[in-house]
Amino acid sequence: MKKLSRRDFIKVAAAAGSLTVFGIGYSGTIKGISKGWWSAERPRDPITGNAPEPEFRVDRKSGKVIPNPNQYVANTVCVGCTTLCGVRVRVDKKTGKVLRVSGNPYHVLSADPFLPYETPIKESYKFLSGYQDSGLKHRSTACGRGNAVLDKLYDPYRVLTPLKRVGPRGSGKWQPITFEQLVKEVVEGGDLFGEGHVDGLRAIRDIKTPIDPNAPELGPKANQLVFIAGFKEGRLPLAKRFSVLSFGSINFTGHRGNCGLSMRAGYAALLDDWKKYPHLKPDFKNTEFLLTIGTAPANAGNPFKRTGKMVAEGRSDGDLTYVVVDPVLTNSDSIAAGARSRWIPVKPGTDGALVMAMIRWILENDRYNAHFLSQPNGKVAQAAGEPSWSNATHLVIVDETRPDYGKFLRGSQLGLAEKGKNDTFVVIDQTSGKPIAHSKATGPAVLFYSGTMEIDGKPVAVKTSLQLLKEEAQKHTLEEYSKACEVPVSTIVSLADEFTRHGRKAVADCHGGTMHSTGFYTAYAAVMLNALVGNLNWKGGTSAGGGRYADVKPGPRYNMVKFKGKVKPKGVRISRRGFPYEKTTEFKKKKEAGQNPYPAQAPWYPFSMALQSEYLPGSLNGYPYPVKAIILWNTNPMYGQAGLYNAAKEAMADPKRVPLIISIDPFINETSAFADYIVPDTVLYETWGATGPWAGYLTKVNSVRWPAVEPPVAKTPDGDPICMESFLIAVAKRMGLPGFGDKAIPDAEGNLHPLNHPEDWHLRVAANIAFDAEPVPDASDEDIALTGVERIREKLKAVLKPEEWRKVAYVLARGGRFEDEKKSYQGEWLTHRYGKPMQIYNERVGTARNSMNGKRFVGVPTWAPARFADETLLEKVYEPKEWPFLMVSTKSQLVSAPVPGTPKLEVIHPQNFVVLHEDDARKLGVKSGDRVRVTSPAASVEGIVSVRLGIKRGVVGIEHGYGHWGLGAKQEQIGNKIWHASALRGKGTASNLLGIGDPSRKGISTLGDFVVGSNARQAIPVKVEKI
Amino acid sequence: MIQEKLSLWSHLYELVSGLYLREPTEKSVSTLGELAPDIGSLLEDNDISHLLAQAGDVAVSELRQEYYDLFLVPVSGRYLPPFESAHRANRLWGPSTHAVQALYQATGFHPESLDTSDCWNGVTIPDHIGFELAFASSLLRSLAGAEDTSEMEALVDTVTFFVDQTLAKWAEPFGQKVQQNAETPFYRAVGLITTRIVPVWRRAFGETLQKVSLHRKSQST
Repeated sequence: MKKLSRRDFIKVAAAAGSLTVFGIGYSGTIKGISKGWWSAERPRDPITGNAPEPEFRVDRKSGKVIPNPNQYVANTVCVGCTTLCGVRVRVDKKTGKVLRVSGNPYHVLSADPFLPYETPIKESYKFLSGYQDSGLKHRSTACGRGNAVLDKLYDPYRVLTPLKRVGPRGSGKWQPITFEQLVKEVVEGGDLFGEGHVDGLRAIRDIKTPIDPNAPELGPKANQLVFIAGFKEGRLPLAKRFSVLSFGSINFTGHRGNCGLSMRAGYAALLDDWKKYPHLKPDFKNTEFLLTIGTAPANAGNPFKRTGKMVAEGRSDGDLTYVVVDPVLTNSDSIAAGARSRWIPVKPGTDGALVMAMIRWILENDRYNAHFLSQPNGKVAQAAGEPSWSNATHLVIVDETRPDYGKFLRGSQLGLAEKGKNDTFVVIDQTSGKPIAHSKATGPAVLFYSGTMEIDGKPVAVKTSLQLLKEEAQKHTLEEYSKACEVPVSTIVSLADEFTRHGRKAVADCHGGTMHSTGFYTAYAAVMLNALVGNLNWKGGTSAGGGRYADVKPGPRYNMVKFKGKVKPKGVRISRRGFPYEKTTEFKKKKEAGQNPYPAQAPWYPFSMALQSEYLPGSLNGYPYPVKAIILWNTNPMYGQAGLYNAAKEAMADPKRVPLIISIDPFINETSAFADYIVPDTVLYETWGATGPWAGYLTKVNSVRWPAVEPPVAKTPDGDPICMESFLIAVAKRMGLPGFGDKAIPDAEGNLHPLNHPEDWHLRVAANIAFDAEPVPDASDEDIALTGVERIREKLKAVLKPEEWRKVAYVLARGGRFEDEKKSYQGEWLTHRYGKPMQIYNERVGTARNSMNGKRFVGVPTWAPARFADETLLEKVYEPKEWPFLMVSTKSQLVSAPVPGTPKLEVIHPQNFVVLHEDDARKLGVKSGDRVRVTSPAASVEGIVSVRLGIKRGVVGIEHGYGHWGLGAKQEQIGNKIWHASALRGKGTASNLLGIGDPSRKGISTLGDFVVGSNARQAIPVKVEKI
Repeated sequence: MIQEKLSLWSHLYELVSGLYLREPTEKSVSTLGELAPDIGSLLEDNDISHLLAQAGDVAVSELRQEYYDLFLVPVSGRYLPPFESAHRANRLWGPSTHAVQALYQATGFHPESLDTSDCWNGVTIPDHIGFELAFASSLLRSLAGAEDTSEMEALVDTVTFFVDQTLAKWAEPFGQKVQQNAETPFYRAVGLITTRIVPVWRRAFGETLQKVSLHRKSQST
């Protein structure tokens, strides 16, 4: 055989693709290491190698604490996921680099028990050590995400200077620009990209002239600026002050519509608070039975870490038994916990059927808490020993011919009360059997009633709320519900039986699994179980959280929400939430023309909240009005919203749709890739912020963040890091917006203070926290030095009053303010109690209409199979014969939005899988490791199969957070530099690419909940084929 | 010239890495047949050439089965865990695994990004022989393209130390075991190649690397 030349050898070997291992995506050159054991250097320590020195040492015998003089330990807040745990961040004083992260022992989300707030910082170290085993008792750690996310501080793909696109939008070509140029261009506009004139923010801000004089309800032209933000991580109020209260646009949203809005809306209906959207969590320490639906404690949900600890303790040392209803077996289930944990596999999107079956069984078998439900008002309830009450006994008008159909019968309609603000509801007194004003009742009222009441001399059909719920539950038999959710009747009955055997110590909760097209009713039904057992405000029952000390409020030191020239925004949001379609000009015009006003061009959501999922579709469709500029901050809907990328990528790249897109983001993600300008931002422990846990805690908690390390971003001319705050302040000042500049923040005496720097805002928020109720003590010099607050001492003194700064330092040194845990309970009741009644029937829901078909919504929980906005059933359009699987995105224990691209997680868990049941895999002829294509009606993705028994048959499970095409997975050009794509960052499968649109709507759309619009990322019809 | 030689060895290491990380296919077997004389010559062993020349006599399905039996199926009776720690410390994830992992991280090498057969997808144990060979290949490739003297010296240090501390300590005995357990000429050849690749490289390259370093140093002065 002829020998090949060396060159030929290389050519032949390389040509044989089946022999090469460096694929096309391989990024190439690696670096040599000239230091370390591999270059024959010995490690510093034979046991610990080159690991960082400990931050302190504690003498085991004496308890003496010896801090490491080369480090400081900052108590602050993790932003690695939405839980926002307290963490302590160890920093090397010499390099200013973060060495490690662990839990803040003062913080309720990180330690249980958490340390008394007065504990001096130095003393707190003792509680983390082996001294008297206190380190075990007060163990405070960060989770896997929390440990990994610090890598993002030093991410090579981080944006450090303002960028302006130089190619077509979305082409990945950028030019670094100065901060001054950035601010000037976005404010003044002009021919910014050589593509014609673009209005700047100054031209857009017109708070008087209507967008459309023929449709004045849409509001002024200022609404053509849309601000899309992320979750409430502690900085959001300043962004809201800028865009809503100063700029005057009504279009500001957080991320909820793409996160857990269905769950939140279900709770809002139950708790009757459509403004704050509160939600409940179990009092884990004392709960005996927990039913979690579409979420799994310690695997998903919030607060993630604390819940994990509570569940572990509850099932081992306490009396907790829990059942997870989910299409996929989660890490919550533990064989070690024996019968204490169970998994009930359910068909995706049908949890509502299971719960409605439970409700039916509970009501028909008298297993509800009649004592609780029959209390007609708060006073009577308290007297009867109930810390909460409900509207179960309130009468609802059910005569469909009346204009007040669906409303509660008012006392004034029967002559029992005055019309107006003192009007009452009506109940039937149990003793007399007569209708009375609910507020005048002195004892329990009738729970089930269906009859008539005479109004204006005419009989009108009425029913109690509980009667309506029972009738709704009885619309289907247990067998029908069972068939829908594919859970046996016997399982449903035993679940309902077990749930109601624990009195008030049984709790039902739900979360992201309800993000499907009928998630609102699923959630409302699931959380209704809590009302049926009457567990609200009880030890072992449910809590709406312990609240916070005053922060962004008219606080004891500063009024953070009032300023001269503050705008009250008007009009309709681009998401069409919070405004009934029936009040629009579009509706009225159709009516006047004799047309059927339904359907609207796109759905309207009268009682929804923070509907991010409709912001980009609405803006790109120009409905209900055209949008001129979008500011994105701390959010990535093109990746995070199921179905959006494929539906909107072309429109996002078209400057005619939205002429100006500004993204404030530390990275170039899938959404900021379409920006015209990228503004760098601070990350994690570089940031300021004041926030708190969502729920799952019983005492007052404020989590406070401060810049524990110096950010590497470029500086403004004023010397501030370029970040969200400094950018918005500079824009506001250039535009002369109210609420910014030298005289912006009033103190308690009415004196005005400046808002020129980020700390002007954040330190004054912290001052409110420090002085609310009983002011906190002054921080000692030792506290300030050990925690690194020293590095901002001069800022504290410059911004705050002499009597304030040490108290604020006290709060910062501890990473927040935390009420004593002993204040959790008052006997068998919780100390911090939710005050409004639980809504068995919600009038606001029951009187609203679906804008796509004119049908009324049901005011109680109901079973609703998957459907489009116009209520056409999904199965009718996408028949199961063609789409035999339902895809669900599963929650990752390690990956969350801020985490992708961290080397630690890339090693531990580099990619996800397409999870299939063993029987399905066999039918498809695939095994673990095979490559498959998953196709939905909208798109296809590829992935590697993992065959498991822990998934329901007919379900495809894909862990969310992988398969990125931004954040370093795609090449970008910054000036003359190329940021090469990292194949590792794009590894795995992105479940959201499979999300589908809504064919019952016009223009760009994604499938959403038909009542509140939350994005449907679950129960997506798909098919699977082997590649 | 030196760059060409480095590049050649980089490809050879990659090719051997591919023998462990990718199932055999008709294409890969026939290519190896074509390259048989060159591989034998480079590794200074004619038996390699002979065995590879016979590789095509066996059906690819049989070769694939052998691949699974040797490297993937513990109950096959012929299984040889392809992980360094399994042979040096009698366990998975031993000290050498962590050491190799630390080095991958420090140098920016991501074994997860390699183009492997699907059966290795999700396997993240860093001291798989295929990963280690690919790492050596990657270092040599970077060395061939390095322009900066200090980077070159660092790469020389790293590749020398890595090969000395890892592959040199287990590739040869592992290759012998593969030869013993293999039933086909193809995998006997794979075993033989594995026994040869490190000692021949060290013999031929120890000196060359010094030359590279010196040459670059003289250029930079």
